[in-house]
Amino acid sequence: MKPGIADLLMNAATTLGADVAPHLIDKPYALGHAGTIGLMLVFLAQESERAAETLVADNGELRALFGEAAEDPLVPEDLRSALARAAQSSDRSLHISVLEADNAALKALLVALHGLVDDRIDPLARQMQIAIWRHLKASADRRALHLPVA
Amino acid sequence: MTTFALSADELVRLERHLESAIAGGRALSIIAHNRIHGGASRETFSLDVTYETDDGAQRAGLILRRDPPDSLIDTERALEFAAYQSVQGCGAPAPEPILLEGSGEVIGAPFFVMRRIEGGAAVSPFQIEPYGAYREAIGRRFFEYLGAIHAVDAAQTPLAQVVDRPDPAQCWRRELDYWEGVIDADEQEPQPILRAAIRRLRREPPPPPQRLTIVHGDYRNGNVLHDGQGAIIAILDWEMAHLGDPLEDLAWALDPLWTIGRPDLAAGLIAREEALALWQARSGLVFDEAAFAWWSLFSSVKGLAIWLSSAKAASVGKNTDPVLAFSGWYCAVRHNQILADRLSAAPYGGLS
Repeated sequence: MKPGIADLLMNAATTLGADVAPHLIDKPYALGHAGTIGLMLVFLAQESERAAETLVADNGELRALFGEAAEDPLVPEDLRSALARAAQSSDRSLHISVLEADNAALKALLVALHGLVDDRIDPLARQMQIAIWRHLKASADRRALHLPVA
Repeated sequence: MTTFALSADELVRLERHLESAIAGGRALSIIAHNRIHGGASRETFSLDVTYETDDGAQRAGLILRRDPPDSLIDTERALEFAAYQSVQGCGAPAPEPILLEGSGEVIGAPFFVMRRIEGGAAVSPFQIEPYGAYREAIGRRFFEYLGAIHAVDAAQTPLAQVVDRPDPAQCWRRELDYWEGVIDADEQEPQPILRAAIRRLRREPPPPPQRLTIVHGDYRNGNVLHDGQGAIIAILDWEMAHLGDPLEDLAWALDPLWTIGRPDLAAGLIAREEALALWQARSGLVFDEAAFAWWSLFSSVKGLAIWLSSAKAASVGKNTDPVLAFSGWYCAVRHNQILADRLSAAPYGGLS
């Protein structure tokens, strides 16, 4: 698609800032809206490029983590089964809505697993704690949004 | 649909209502009104009014805050009104509250009115170096005024009449329980970082506050008006005010979310050591680093709770104000990063 999605969104943000906002100086509430929407267009340009990759990376890391956790005998049997099934699953589609639904299901399992790991002090739990935080930090960093310099 | 203006009928009823609230006022007329941004929790209107008194024709600027159809924060307008009353004369500038209306008979929803602060500007917390050469002067006032608020004898204030007085040892639990409840109600997808933070907070609670004080609840650099010459002329947005641990305010003011452009400075304004010294000198309180660490982590949890509520309101279309979508997205992303940075580090998360 040309112009690309990110280019279109950035052009819309520029037009809003340069050609629309100056005509709203005496309408402070509408001007505030225009500024906020312009900023979100900039973020949407960033997100449109990477959204699928972010979710695929997240889901892959979580499945790998669950594969290890499913081998841990101290994890309750029902959770181990759920973790093993999740570890064997794969992304059904690259549609963002489908990836997000799968990501939400995987994150729900992570919350359950992490709560148990937090209550343990054995070496295996320590390793899992490190692996979980390595994933969570990478996941948070992947979603970083970059403000334009004001 | 966003309300940009009050209707003609509402304006007529409001004029009569305001007239009765202004001592000696007659023939009050609203000659201009504009919706303005004033926090996303209430609809805020700027009013210009004229009226007659025995001294002749008068003119005044007022701010009206009306309960919205949906809100970032579920609070009572009586609480915010009482908070403004409680800090009058304490040394920290806040608008003078004028009128509180609890019914929807005048303009369709409860509201309150306060005097408008003229000549002030708020800055976006997402702007780089918004104060220019006056950054340090603003920063010193910012932390002095927070100390002044915390020096008020909270038990004797109007705020104490409309909020509960918590057991000091349970301040932390009350706040954490409340915001976890908000998260439970409003999260639209699982929040593994946030849930880990909550577990951590419950494992290692802070000591009771040195003194139960007024807590502004949203004391940050974007919630003050400055005059463009180094002075802060008003502290705004008191809708989350309560009695509690003053470190809650200090931690929120110092949250990394508000330091864009100058993450090395407290609130993006002045050196942390100077900020803490000014706050201590004015409040009479002693800074406790260990207790502060708990409240600092809590700040990001509370922030995320607010942003999740914003995101939900925006997602389901209950409120189309773009600031809700913005905060529900950008601020949530930032607070998740802030929490992940803190919690992933050794010794807790084990990463270097």
